[in-house]
Amino acid sequence: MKRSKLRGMGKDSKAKNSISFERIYSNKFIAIAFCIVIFTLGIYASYNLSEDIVLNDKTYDIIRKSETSISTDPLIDKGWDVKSDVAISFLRKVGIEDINHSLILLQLASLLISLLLCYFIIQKVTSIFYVLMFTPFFVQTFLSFTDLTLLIPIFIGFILALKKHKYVISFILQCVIAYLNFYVAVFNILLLAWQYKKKAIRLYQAGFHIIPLGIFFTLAKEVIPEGKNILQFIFIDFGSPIGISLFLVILGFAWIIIEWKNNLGKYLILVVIGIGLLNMTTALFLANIILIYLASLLIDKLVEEKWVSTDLKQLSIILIFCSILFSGLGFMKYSLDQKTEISGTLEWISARTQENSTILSHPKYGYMIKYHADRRIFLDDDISIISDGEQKYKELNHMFSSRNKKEILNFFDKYGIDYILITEEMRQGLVWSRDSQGMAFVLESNPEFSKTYSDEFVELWWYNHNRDLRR
Amino acid sequence: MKAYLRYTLLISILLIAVIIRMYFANSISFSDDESYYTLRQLESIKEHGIPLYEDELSYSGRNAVFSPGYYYILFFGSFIFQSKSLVILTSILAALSALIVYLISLKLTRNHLISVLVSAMGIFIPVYLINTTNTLSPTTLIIPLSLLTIYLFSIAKDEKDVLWYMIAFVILSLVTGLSTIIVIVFIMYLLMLRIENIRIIKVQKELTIVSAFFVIWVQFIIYKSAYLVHGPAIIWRNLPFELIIQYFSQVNIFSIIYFVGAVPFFAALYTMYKHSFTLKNEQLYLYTSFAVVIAALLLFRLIELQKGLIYLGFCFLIFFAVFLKRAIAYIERTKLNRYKHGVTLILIFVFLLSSIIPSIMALHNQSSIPRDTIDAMEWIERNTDENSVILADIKEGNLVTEIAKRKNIIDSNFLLIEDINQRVNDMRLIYTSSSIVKAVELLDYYSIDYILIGEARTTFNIEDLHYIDSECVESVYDNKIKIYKVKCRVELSE
Repeated sequence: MKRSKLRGMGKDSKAKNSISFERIYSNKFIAIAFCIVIFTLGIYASYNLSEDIVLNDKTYDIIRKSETSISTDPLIDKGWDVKSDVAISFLRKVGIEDINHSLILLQLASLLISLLLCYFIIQKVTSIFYVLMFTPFFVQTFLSFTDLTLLIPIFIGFILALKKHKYVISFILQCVIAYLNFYVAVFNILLLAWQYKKKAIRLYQAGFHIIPLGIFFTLAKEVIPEGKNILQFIFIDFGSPIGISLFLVILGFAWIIIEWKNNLGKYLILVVIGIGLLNMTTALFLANIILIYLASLLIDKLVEEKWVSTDLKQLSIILIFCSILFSGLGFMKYSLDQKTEISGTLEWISARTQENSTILSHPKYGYMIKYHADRRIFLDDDISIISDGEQKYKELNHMFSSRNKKEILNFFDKYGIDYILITEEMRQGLVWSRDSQGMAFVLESNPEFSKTYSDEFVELWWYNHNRDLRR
Repeated sequence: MKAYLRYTLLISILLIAVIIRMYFANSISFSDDESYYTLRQLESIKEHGIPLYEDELSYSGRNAVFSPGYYYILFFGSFIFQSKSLVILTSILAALSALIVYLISLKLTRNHLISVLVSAMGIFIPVYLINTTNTLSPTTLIIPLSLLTIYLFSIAKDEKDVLWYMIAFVILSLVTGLSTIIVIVFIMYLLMLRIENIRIIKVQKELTIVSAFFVIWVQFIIYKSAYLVHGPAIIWRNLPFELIIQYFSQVNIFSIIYFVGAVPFFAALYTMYKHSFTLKNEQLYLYTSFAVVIAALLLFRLIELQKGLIYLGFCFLIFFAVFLKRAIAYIERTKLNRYKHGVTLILIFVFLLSSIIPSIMALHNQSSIPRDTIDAMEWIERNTDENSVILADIKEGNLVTEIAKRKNIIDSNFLLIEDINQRVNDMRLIYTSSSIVKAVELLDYYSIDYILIGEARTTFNIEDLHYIDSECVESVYDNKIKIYKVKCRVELSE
């Protein structure tokens, strides 16, 4: 009798545990609060503990820009990225001078606005907040300041405005979006077309939203770096800094297959693929947002369904979040480790080289070199802003793989390059796949070049421009 | 069939399976070099508690990725069996497949006699026997564990059955990346049931979901760095181009019949047709989906030929059990009823001819690592500097690291090696080049101190190096296997 009572009590308490888990999980306020607390801690930690090492390299440029009042970047042949300047100038006018505080405030504001707007748009889906918190894309966007930090809340605001039929607000937001990212504005037109099909908007109201595209058409550019494996560009698990999580793709497509008949997701994915043919970065941004939503729907469905085994259900949900979290955190740790290894060398360069020196390296290190070493560079990752950026990028790739000494020397003389920075990653697949390939062979076998610094992660080569000495 | 007779027969089958493997096991060496890699892993676990993730000898120093589960299981077994006698443990593991085939057949046919017969036949699947004899390869555990996982999945009806399945699946995920295939089989099975409008058992659906998430997560954790380096090419284990053709060969029907057995093959085809399209036996859909998935992977060269054939072999054997039951039931309804035992014996005899003979012949022809090679490796260990780098064929790479305890240039663990094709080409150049200059340049690049001419004779079709008369190489060992010391290095001129 007693034993059976005890058994019964065990089952009841197990059922109670599962109910309280679902109650907590289903409460959106708890979810949002949890999200805000975690991100706030993360943002403060990233600025106070990371010793000037940030997740997204573009933040280096923003910090540098905010510390000066000139409108052009003295360390490269181009202007500054004015988009982020707008936000920082606004904050300066409000009275916040310290750039770290400005960025923290911007990131927190952007995060809060994004979460609140999400709450108003998606009323039935709860897990989206937990998924957002764990998704590498979201974490990277809000733990450091990038273009997307401003773009995301504005984009979500646009969707909310459409949903509430506030077309004046949506038009204003469309103008801002077209300025920040032309191809997201193109995607918005497709959303408007869908609204028109549902007869939720009139043709002239939708038509007005095309005007910003005409005004900011000239901002529509992108270069996909040559030599990059397309999968390594798309997936964060294969090394892309701005990509989508493979696991998120699996969840998203699982949802599309499960709910094939009544599913907007499959059309959105097709549209994103189409945009990818024009601009990969935008396609990745949109893919992340859509996949997060689809994955959240799947997780909610898993939670709501009655499982035979409650343990299996909870294990599944834990595994989903572990997988999403793991793929992003693993990559971020990998990239942060790399930056830590290089930043020390760059500070050495700053102390031991002349102020007007120009350093050549792979474009991905451009922001770091400018920030830590305070030296001019040949190229950084933001090629689309420079007028001859594509040409320079192609030229650089050609020079990296060339063994023609005369060609390389002419290239260095043409652009006034004084130093060449070679990292371990460049030697292990980023540029070369083995020692003494291409330009590396020329550096090692010609007296015009001398190795001035070397450790296990980085080499710095000096190029002697003086032709008399070479004779 | 009485219980004691049944158990006696099963134990006898297991013993015969082990004895056959031990009979053909060579006392001196293993049949493949992978076994020596396993020994190194066991030594590392004994010394450091973890397997060799940072290997100073392989490829003259590299990081490695692999599923560690098998090495830990063998490590616990090594408290009883030492070094070469670990073959007894792996033979027992491999023999357990027969027992699992018995359980599966019993569930499908509910006939003990047929199940015992099929279990006995399971000992003689040629491709399985060849690949699990005289070796410490993980295949000896992967196959029985895969079959066990599928069996536990098929009998899962409620929450109580979940635990044993999860234990088996978790171990399988930690032992091999092929656990992903098992999940694909389950998904295919559920799809087939859905298409046929057959009720899906809820706990099986839940197990599939959890298994899918678990295997993706575990494989990401274990192979994340390999995904970053190789991307989707990780499926082909970063094999050099020349070896991809060998490992992932195009399959044809004749090779399936030869390696799997003619009787199980044709019986399986008939049974799959009958039970998929006519009778719609839901129990068999799981094994049908298993066969279809493996066949598709073989067709698209997404699974190694040997492993694919092993899986198919067991699958066909299971179908053969169902076929045998149907055949006996059919004969009982005809005038041949009085001869049903005779007919059954004829079927079994045909199977013996088509499976046992190829198995025994293949085992006879299977060679273990030659004594000469072992002697050469031992000579290297005694007579060369600890930091020496030895150039040897891919198949000898693990022997260089395990027996000779020296660094190698290349071996059969290709993951995380970015320039593998370049490396293979360089190795070919060193062995076959007539130009001493080119050879020395490469010898210097890889810092090679000794060149071993053993398996390279077969691989590169050479008798000896073309530049043995030059001053840059000196013969230091010549006993069928030749070893040359490299005496030249490249220097930069002022």
